[in-house]
Amino acid sequence: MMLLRVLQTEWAKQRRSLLPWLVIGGPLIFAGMMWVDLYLRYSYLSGRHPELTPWELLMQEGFMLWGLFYPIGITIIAALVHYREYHDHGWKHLLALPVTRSSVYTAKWLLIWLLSCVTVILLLVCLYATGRILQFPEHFPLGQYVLYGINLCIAALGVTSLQHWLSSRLSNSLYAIAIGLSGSIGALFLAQSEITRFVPYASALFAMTVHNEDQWLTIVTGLIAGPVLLLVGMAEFRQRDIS
Amino acid sequence: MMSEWMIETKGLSKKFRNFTPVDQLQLHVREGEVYGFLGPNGAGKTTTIRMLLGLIRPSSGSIHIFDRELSRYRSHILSQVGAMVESPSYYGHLTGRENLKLTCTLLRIPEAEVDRVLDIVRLSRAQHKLARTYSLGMKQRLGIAQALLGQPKLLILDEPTNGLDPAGIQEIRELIVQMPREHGITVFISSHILKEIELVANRVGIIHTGRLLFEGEMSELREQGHPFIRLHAEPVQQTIDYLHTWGYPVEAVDHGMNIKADPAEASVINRRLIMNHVDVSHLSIGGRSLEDVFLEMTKGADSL
Repeated sequence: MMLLRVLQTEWAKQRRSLLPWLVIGGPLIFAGMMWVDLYLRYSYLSGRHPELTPWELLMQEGFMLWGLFYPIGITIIAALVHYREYHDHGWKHLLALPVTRSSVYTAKWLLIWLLSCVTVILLLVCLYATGRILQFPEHFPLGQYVLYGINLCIAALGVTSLQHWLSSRLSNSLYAIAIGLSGSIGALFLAQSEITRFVPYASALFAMTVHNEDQWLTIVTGLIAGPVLLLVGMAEFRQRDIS
Repeated sequence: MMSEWMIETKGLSKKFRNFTPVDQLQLHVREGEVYGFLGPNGAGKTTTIRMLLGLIRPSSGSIHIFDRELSRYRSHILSQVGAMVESPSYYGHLTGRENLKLTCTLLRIPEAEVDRVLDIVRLSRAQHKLARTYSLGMKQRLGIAQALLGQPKLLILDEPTNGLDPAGIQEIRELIVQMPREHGITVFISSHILKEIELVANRVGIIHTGRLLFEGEMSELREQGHPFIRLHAEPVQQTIDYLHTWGYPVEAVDHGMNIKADPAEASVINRRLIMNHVDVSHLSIGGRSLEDVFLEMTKGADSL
């Protein structure tokens, strides 16, 4: 199948690149920060939120920071995937081969989204390890964390489609990163408004499964913005002149 | 009925807002030839090649390759075309071999093809080095190797000798010349250097400001310079009579005569005159050089 062949080569292109390190390193560093946070402030935090179990407290403490880092991470992943083509003049070679532009665009999108999902899985594993190292006495709430992971993967759909198109359109990766960075930071404020909280960059902020009634925002934004922006971007990419 | 052309464009144009890099182009490339696409920098060569590869959409006109319309049969056509557009494309952080394997995967061809093309471009010994460490000539050869994967019927090369030293240019030239002869591949090669095209091409198309000014055999292009053989010989009248007898049109000029004949005939004429006891004191080729013809066509473009 053409799509899988293109996806296979897209992954092969990332060998010896920064991308695998980012995907592995991001969740590890984040979990490390969480460990330091709870190691130093556990007594204070549990006093402030006596209704939460330690596992819930861990998620509650991390969701805001991860909600900021996650879209930034996707932004960087998308930029690195496209940087290869621009830096190495790859577009003209790749698109002069007997592969369809749709398959190339979709394969790159899939790679970015799958890698963002891998960071989520690693995040959950690292958070579990953090809890175990901190010797949380309670049983690990697997369902709650898995649901959080699923929400994050859905939240990634919109940001992936948006940053994928921007990175494919802007030959200077720094512009795409600057937009993603601004969007991700701006989302912290936009998420507080009834009107602007649907912006894809804010989706991850509503993904938390601890006492959060706004999870539907993540699902709706991700499932609508993801496919719509993917199709719009693909339509533009298919028509684009490759210079 | 099959067309005699491997590549045929009809009224091919590309327009941007207030700029037309390619204007009503009618290209005709035969199977088994090396077609030189010649023009000064900015003439529209690369834009044309990008259109031939489906990278840019034409504003008007049509492209037929292998007798099929490119816009409808893009994937089928491109599966039989190898190309290198401007600078070679390679992923510098991968080895030469890994770069070629990527293309093999996309073309669905066995990895053994990599060894075949590495052998053709003489890169086998450097295949495990990172592509970014290659010299410019090696990078060009890697680009040609990528284009040769899958045994294409048509090779499209855009300025393949750009930036190379004389030895590198010689290597690439030898590779190009052997393609039709040893591998049955038709080659479409663009360049702004007349000498390059003259040394490798059978037929030539000259483009300037987006328009095709000439298309034909290299010999036809040379004839546009109205070449003649200048001769000084004694006795003059007897020489003219001999030449008339042998069927050469002769015109007497100051201190000699001009023979309207193919310059390649000069040695034959010389030998026959000497055998007939004519004293030949001067024999040279006159007329405008190929470069003059090209410069006149392209109105003295300063890029030669």
